[in-house]
Amino acid sequence: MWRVRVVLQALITLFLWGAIYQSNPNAFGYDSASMLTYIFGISLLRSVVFLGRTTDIQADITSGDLSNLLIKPVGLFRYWWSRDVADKLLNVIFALIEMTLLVGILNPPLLPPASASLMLPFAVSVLVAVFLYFFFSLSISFSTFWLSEGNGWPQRFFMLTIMEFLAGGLFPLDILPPSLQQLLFFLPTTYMVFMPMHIYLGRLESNMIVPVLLIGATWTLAFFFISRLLLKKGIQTYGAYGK
Amino acid sequence: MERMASNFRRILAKYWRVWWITAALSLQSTLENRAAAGFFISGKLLRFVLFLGFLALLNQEVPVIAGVDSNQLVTYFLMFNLIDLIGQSLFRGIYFFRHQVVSGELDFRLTKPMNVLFQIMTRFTDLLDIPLIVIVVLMLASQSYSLDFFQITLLAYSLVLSFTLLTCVHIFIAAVGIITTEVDHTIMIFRDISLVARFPISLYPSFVRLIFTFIIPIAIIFTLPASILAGHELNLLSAGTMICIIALFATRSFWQYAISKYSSASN
Repeated sequence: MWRVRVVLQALITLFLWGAIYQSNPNAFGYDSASMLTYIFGISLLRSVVFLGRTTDIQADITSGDLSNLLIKPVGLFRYWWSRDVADKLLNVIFALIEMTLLVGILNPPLLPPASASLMLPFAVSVLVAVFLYFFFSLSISFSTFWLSEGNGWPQRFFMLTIMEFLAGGLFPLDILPPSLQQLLFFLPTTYMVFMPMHIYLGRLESNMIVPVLLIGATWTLAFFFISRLLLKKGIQTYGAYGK
Repeated sequence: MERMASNFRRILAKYWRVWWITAALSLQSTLENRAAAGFFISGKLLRFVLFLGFLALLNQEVPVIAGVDSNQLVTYFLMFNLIDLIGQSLFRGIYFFRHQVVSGELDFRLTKPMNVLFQIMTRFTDLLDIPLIVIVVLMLASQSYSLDFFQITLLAYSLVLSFTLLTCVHIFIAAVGIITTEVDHTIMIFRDISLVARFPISLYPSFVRLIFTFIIPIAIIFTLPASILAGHELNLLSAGTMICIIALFATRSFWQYAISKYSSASN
């Protein structure tokens, strides 16, 4: 059922942009093929980057199930990472099957990477995005130590709402006014799914690739430390309610 | 005749009182979690504002999309929000229904001298949607629509169709919930599908329009009232009436079938 929702979201965005490009074939400086490639790419990247099991930690904290983990001889971050990777693998397999079917049925004009030399920066940016979102999501989950109402869902809902727009899921961020783009350039959400697709489509100037990857990596490192700090402080306030 | 009318008024008063008490309890429960309420309200407001921003951006680049101009686009979006928010606010109880089925709490509801569907749907009234509903209504009121009496009547009629169908969808989801014990994903799928209607259904390919008009009547529920406000074609009204009548009978039968399969397993 979860995958049905993912496919639906992709289809809705695809149909919307299809209609927009029927009215203006070169809207926002993208041609139809580039935009549809972006939308398809984002749908696939969402499964790689955004889907995972870090949200379960919120319920573990409020139910007290976290205690079971704390007494086990396992590294918490490594445990959560392995669960996340397993879930991502499952989702990627499904996403690949679904996207192949959708491409077969809808036959959209999809583009290959702008050049073969972009494959490595693209792969690195995806890897950075996966780690960045993992630590980002962990940080949100750890906020449940202090804000346990609704199993920590309210603060995640708020962040997901922001990310729906600022990560580039609905539209590419480079269609926004330049002043907003400059601001978004420094936000972590830009490096989650938008930047990898930006690199894939060859829309990022080649001299900007390394700085962009470095900014993404810096955010990843920042959220790594933030999540570690939140866990450390959170466990001090953790009351193991329900256990 | 007079006795029937008096009975009807008495029943209506009883249901109103129960809903009022449930809504008041829901409000108390919501206000217990103020931080959560703050996150939800600000998240919903932010999403609304950001989407309006996206529409404005779209309008700058593509002033007319498939024959729909920017003002009409905003009308469709506002009307979608109005119907969606009222539906979510009134029928929030459906989100708690799975627990009632798997825990056997539904038995308790079935024994009460009150319509069980009413109890299920209105178990919780989400008053966090009220601020946004007010904003949407004010924004709709500020748009300069020139409607004559006939169009106002049509708008009112289309809203009746819309909320009747929305109720049918929720009954259908509750019935599926009894048979499969799956409610959360079904309601979320419906909500995802309904996002289609943030834009006029005429933007989409013909097979999508067909599906979202006759199979999952998103077009009737969300875009028919907006199309009347936007001055678009009204040919969906008669189809909407037919679909509404069929949906009422079909969901009623499906609900009765589902309730006959309820095993009260956990009690």
